[in-house]
Amino acid sequence: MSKREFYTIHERIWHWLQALTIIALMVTGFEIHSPHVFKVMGFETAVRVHNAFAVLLLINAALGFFYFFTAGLLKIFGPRSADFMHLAILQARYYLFGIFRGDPHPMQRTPENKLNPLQQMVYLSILNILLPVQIVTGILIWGAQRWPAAIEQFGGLGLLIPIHLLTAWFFLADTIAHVYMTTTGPTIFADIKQMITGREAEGGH
Amino acid sequence: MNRLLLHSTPVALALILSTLAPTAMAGALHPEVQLLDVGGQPVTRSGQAVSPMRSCGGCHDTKWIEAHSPHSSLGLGEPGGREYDAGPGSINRFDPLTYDRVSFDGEFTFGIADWLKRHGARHVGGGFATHDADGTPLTDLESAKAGAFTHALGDDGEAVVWDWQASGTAEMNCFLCHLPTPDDQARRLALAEGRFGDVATATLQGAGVAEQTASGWNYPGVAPDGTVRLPIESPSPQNCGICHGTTVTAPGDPFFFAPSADRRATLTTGSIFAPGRIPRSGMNVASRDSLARPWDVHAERLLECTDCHSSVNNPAHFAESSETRPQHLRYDARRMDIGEYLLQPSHEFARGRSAQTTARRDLDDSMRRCESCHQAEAAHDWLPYRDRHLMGLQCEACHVPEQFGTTLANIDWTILDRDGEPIRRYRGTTGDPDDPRTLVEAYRPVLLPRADASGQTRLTPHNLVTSWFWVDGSTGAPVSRKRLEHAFLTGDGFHSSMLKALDATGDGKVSASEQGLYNPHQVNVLAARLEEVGVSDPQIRGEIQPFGTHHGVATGRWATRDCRSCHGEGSRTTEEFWLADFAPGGVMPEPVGDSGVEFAGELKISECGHVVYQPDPKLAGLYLFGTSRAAWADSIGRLTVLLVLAGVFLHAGLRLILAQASRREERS
Repeated sequence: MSKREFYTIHERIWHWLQALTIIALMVTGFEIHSPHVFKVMGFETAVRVHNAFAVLLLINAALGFFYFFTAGLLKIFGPRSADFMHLAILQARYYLFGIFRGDPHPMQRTPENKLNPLQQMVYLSILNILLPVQIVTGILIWGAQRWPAAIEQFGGLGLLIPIHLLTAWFFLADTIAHVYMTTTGPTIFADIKQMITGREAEGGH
Repeated sequence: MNRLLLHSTPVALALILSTLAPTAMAGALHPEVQLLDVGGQPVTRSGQAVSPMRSCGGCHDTKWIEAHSPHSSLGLGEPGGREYDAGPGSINRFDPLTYDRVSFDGEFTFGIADWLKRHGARHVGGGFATHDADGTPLTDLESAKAGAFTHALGDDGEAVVWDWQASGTAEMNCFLCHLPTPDDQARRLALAEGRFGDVATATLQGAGVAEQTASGWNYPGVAPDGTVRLPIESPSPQNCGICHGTTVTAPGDPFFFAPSADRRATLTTGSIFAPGRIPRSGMNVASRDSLARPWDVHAERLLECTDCHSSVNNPAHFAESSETRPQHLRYDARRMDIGEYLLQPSHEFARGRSAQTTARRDLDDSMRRCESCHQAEAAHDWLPYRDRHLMGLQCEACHVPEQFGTTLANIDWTILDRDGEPIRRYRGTTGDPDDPRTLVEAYRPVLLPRADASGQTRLTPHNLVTSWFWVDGSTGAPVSRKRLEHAFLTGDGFHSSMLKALDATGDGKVSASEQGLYNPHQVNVLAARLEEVGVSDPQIRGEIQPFGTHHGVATGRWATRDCRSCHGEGSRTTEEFWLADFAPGGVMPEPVGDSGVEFAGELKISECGHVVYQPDPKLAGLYLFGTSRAAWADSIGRLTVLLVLAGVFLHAGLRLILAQASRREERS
């Protein structure tokens, strides 16, 4: 029996490119922040690579938005059901208790409804808060040499950089949690495999 | 006709050749000078000393020049300085390097004549050396009360009237700066002996036109009417170096210079203005073979001091201050006529803005800066965030990465050595700095924020010279050298109470390691001695004077280029800068208040007990990637990641344990 397509090629390219850029930005970002602790490629290279990946992230985010918007898929990120909170509680209870008892997933995922309520909440906070904050502060820091007066209006580098840094820590925490949550599928690697092949996982939930 | 040609050709050739030789050309350009004495008579007739004001005044407006020469006035009559200073200049601002304060007010301890004898070698003459603060000639002064201009210290230490008529006055000495070979040694001797009227003539001895005899001055080679051709020229670096610092013009000259107050710029910053390569000099610089760079790239490229520090009305270099120039006007093509300039060449010289020059602040930033000649943008393509770096750093921050001259670090006047000298300690050398064999290690100037002409704060390299000295508690003024000597020394060495207090080993000597006030007992003993000689409530004060390091410039290859020099652990923007091995009397020094430098950092005792300054650019509003820290962001971020990791491990662990239990149950 052929499995149906769960993630389109566009979604998968967007996802993995996003993953690559975020990991690269975190690695280079932490090397810039603490070059004596993280010694990966050298400070100067790290700065250049960081800037290059930041541009890639922006392009990918823009293209991703364009794709999700034109494909009518933006709705998958937002709550659609009237009993969203009830479903969110069910999902939380599953992760807190049910998963240990081998209970079935409370929500059956479909290509049109890929994200459970908790994932939707996380994505909404990332897309609406963390990512914009990171992009805006990043652009301002990068632009400090071009528009120094404007940067001072935003509190100067002394404020912008710590905010950028804190958001990076949150991204790291989110990435760890995100990767771990991929192991909660039918098998440990089923969800990752699904994001690579795009095909629905065996025993999908 | 042919014979005429035959005879005239060699003469013409000689004339042409003489104009091609640079030194001959400079001298040949200047017409003959009639050497006149102070009364206006040719010196060849009177046998008197030469008066530069009269002699040069035949063509140049010497009175106007003197009035426009901060080198003559040295801040006299200017307001400023610390609470116990009479002004902001070398003559009226307390300087721990020279120590002696002229008594412009209060009790007489040191007069102008004393200052000229001891420190006049770094004064060009004129100003207070010829007139008092009101403009009255010193030779016309009469005063019953001991004062700075009328009195001097007698042999017994008491004030005596100084006879200016007998000593003469030290006129502004044109020959010191405008002759290629001024006789500085003879000049210094005349000053030290108090023969102030002979100073300018003594300077001429180097040119071979004056010689001193038992009966007065003799002028060989000078025409009977007093005229002579002197090789007068624009000041060379050697002329400037007589008072300012170590300057060398011959690239192959294997020079050695010991630290000296006469080479003040070198003593206080370590900079040496020389064109040669460091390994080829006579200075025993550590790792010299790997330093194939010139001492100063500007000297190597044949720039002279006057190319940058030119007269402010020199038509060739004139640049109107951005403060007075209309904004729409980039360049004012109108120039003073050369004749007008030669009549009244201002001796106010263009300069930048330095922490140590506190007089005539109106001349700050009158000099063309690095960016006036260099296109920084074109040469820094390789530099990430180039504009940001150029905004936050003075050029010297990277292009004066190290200084190789032996540099003063601290000077301790709380005790004196047997010769009545303070204890001086230097950077980069642990041995005898006067010995050419002593290894000199370069030091890295500390980067301190300083506002430039545009108001932009940039990190600028400095040396910090820390001084400790006794002050009179009732006035706050430093205790005079005479009093210190009286309190601490006797005719044959240390005063017994001082010897007893300092001699920790009890061998009857004060060794180098014992030279210092390490404990309260020693402080109390010396304070008691000072009280015995009349000092009221003696206290120790410590001061830090920053000195901007703007010379000793390196090309891009030798400049700081490695990002990690500033970004990351061990950043030179935050590294501890050693000030002293200990704080005499436990007194922590304080920065002087008039340097214009922002001390954004912490003065502290390091783990090994040294007095250090730890800069923190963040306090100056500069955030450096890899170096600056926002503890709150890191703390919250780390905690968040740790909580997530803990949650993941707990969750995953429980899943693993329960899955194994479930499998065991299934098997059973």
